[in-house]
Amino acid sequence: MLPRYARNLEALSVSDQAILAGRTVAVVGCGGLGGYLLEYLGRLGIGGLIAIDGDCFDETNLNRQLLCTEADIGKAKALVAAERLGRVNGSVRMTGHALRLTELNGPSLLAGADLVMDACDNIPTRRSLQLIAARLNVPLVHGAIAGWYGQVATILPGDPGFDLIYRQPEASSKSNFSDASAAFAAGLAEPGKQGEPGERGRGIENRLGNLSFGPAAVAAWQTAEAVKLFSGRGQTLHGRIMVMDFLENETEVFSLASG
Amino acid sequence: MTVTARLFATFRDGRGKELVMDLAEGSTVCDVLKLLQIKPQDVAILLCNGRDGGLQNALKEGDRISLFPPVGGG
Repeated sequence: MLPRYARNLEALSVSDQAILAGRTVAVVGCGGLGGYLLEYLGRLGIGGLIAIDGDCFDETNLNRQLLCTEADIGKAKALVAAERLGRVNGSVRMTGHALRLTELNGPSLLAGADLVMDACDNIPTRRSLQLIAARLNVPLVHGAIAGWYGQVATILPGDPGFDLIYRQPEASSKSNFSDASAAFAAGLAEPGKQGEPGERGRGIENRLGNLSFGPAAVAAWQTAEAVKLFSGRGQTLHGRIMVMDFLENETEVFSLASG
Repeated sequence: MTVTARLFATFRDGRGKELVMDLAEGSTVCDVLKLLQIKPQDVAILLCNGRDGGLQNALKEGDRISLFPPVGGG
């Protein structure tokens, strides 16, 4: 056991630590959630990390994104992530991809990952991620934030997952939905443009923004999920979602069962 | 009949956390949304008695509906 992991014990056993060292986690999105996820996973002793993000840092990221310093404005998020992780824990096999994940490039970008972390900033990419993770037969740990609110869920291959977390309007002659929603439900419209809850594939964060503690708290819970999935310890949020309300000091777990 | 609507995150703004509603027999989840002035397309998670629900679900005495807006930031 390396001294750098001494404080992980007794909460983790030596064999748990060895399991973590043998696992690779892909973090999709290197913004608010992704920055904290990479930090937590790298310090914890996950053996391999794959960081994916096609964006560059801008000034609006400074209020909450751990990886973003004033000197990083304009730099590719995934590459800054890889550089920082190299300094935090040089033994991590770290790969940064400055690319936007799509259903086309996803399977190759995520190849070799034992688990995928959702740190995306939009709903259509999450749907793609669920499809790819299922195809690769690996768990997906969902996290999302908006203002004073956050949520975490674990989605295993075959689970309805985002079909229930981001429900799409129902196509029905009885309903009074717009033609655009009905077209989407009928498979005629492009996902992410119409038919998503909220506006243009975003949620209430479009209006509320995101505060500094939201990504830190949600990423912490997502990281705990990863450790539980790898070690078999405790109760995971498989088939459930935990919603957090920092204003009201509320957390509640709901079952995500089909009707 | 009496139905309870539990609201989360921004759905609570101006409405409260939990509303006990007296509804006509045959009312649906869609009717509850109309009363609450929540657009169906703004609902991301819709639970009826703890299970995924549909807008056209007919409600019955004592049902509990939980409504969540989309939280999608990263």
